[in-house]
Amino acid sequence: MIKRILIATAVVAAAAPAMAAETTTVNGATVAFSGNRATVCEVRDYENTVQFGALGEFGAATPVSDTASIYCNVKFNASIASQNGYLRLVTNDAGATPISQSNTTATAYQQFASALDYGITVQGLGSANTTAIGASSPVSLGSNLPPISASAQLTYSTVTSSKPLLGGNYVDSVTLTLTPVAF
Amino acid sequence: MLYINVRARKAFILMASALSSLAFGSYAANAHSVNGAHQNLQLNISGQISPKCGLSFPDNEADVVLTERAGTTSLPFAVSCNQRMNVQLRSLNGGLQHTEVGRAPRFNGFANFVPYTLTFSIDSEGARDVSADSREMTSPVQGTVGQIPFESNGSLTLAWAATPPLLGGQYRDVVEIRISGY
Repeated sequence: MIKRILIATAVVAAAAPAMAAETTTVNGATVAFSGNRATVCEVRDYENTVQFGALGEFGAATPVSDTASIYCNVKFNASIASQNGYLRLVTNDAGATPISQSNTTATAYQQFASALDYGITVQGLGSANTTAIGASSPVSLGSNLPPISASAQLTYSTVTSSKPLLGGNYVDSVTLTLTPVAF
Repeated sequence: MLYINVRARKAFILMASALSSLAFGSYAANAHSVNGAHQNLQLNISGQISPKCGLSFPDNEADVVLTERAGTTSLPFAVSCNQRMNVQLRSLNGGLQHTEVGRAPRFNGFANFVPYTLTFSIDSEGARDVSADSREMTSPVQGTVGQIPFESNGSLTLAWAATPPLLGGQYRDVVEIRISGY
């Protein structure tokens, strides 16, 4: 009987070292942190009205500069569009309207022009001239441009007409569009 | 120490045999002495509680809205350890990294990587926080809680400082937390 007890003790002694080695356990977890930075493309702090002032007989004017903050935190395409396609005479006289987009001659007063082309330069992006911008058809200033956070100078300058201008006020509206594109 | 008489001896021997086959803890059984009609048997019995440490997150993903301002986000967790506990933190990217552009600076004036400080905190008086800068966590960073956090709760907090303008898009990092008793 004592022999049996000793055998049992030996079995336990053999098992004990395996348990004694189990002094630590390791456990854990994996977590993920995700963040999203909203895509922002904006033109900020620009003048709503650009005044050329008094135009010369053929539309000469001192270029007008403005500064704007251009911010886009992804790659982007830039384009510019003109509402009229040129500076256009404000008039109720149908005969004083320009013949077409490509012909600035006044319909009924053909020795005069009733529209005036002008150009826009956006520093760092590109330039466009309204002779090339059809009304409401945007012109690209650049594609896949790198992210930008800068103060850009916008310069507006008239393109001298081949004909003298009818008297009156000339207006247009331009839209600079920044379109985000994927990296 | 346990003394038994001869009539009980057989039963105890059988019990000892059964215990030995279970390998439950460790013990020793010895015939000790015989005094007249009695025989004394000494059984030394010991037991062991297995070390156990567990960590679980009800939600193992946190989504944050990033701006250029400083911010924090936290994930709660449950932890239980029957020993004093070490914590090891490791980061896959070393920070929140733009998923499309990567970590290296690519566009002037914009950041596409947001380093942060990660803090492992247990809601228990006297427990020490384990914190690390994410940039150091691409290699495992070790710390100790200094307590036995038995059935406790805690939080894993990610805090980042104000940054330069950030590129738009998704940022991500994966953190591995390993706990061990000692």
